[in-house]
Amino acid sequence: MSLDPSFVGRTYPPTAPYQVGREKIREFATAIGATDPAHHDPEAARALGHPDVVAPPTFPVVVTMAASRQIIEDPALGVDYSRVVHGDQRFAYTRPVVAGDELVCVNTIEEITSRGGHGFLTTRTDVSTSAGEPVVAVWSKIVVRGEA
Amino acid sequence: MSITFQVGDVLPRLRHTVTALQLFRYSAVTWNPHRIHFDARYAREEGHPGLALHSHLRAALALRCVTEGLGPQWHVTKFDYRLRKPVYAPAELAYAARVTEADGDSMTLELIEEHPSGGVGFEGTVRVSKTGAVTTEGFPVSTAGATA
Repeated sequence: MSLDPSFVGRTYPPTAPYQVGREKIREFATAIGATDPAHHDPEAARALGHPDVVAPPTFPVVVTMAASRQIIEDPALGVDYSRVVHGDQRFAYTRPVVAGDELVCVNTIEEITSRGGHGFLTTRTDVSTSAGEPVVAVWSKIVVRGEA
Repeated sequence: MSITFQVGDVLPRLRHTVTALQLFRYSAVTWNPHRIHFDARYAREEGHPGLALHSHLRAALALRCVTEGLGPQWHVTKFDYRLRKPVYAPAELAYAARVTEADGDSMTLELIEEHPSGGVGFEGTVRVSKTGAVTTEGFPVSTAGATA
């Protein structure tokens, strides 16, 4: 089933705020093998000018992948999640994520194409604090594999 | 430690063996229920030869090559990547980064994931700025509109 191109340009309502915890940042850093003290030790992070431990640069995927369910589970768009493969991705940072941030995501569908029986969906997720301060924008291309 | 880089400079390679345990931990911390990353029998049913690495984990390892190679004097402002082929655990990977543009307070590096076979699994581009430096970097790039 192909994706409906009329969804291009659609913006979804802001997601519920995500509270970034210090232990989550530590666990994420440990899972990727990042031992930099700025990810683990608040004092080390403060010495670099951050208010608390700093998340590694790809940490925002924790928040944006959860937020993207808004699109993937939109019954009107009709994505079959069992056929979804994550593809290319792009990040533009205003500042790093730190423990204590409360983050809100706004999803926009930027592009829908199909090729070789597969659907390609490009989304942009603008991540900001609940006070409205921009943090990072994340573009994701997902492939919805065809039935063949 | 030198903090001056020139076009053509290469950062130390990040060599890393990804294990099934690391995939399980990364799935857990990112709350990713997709079984191709931690259930080998299911992954084979889906047509994979083994447990598939998360593309986001590969991106996180690739960026470690840059952030650990440059140190806290630099921070990532933009990052994008293109996937070339899937990778299955256990995987011996190496990430290499080369400076392609350097203009004082900012620079661009090209990033690749090298496989033992000699193939390239992933290509990325990273833009970094000196921490504390005032830059006039605009974002985002390419087709997207304003982000905030």
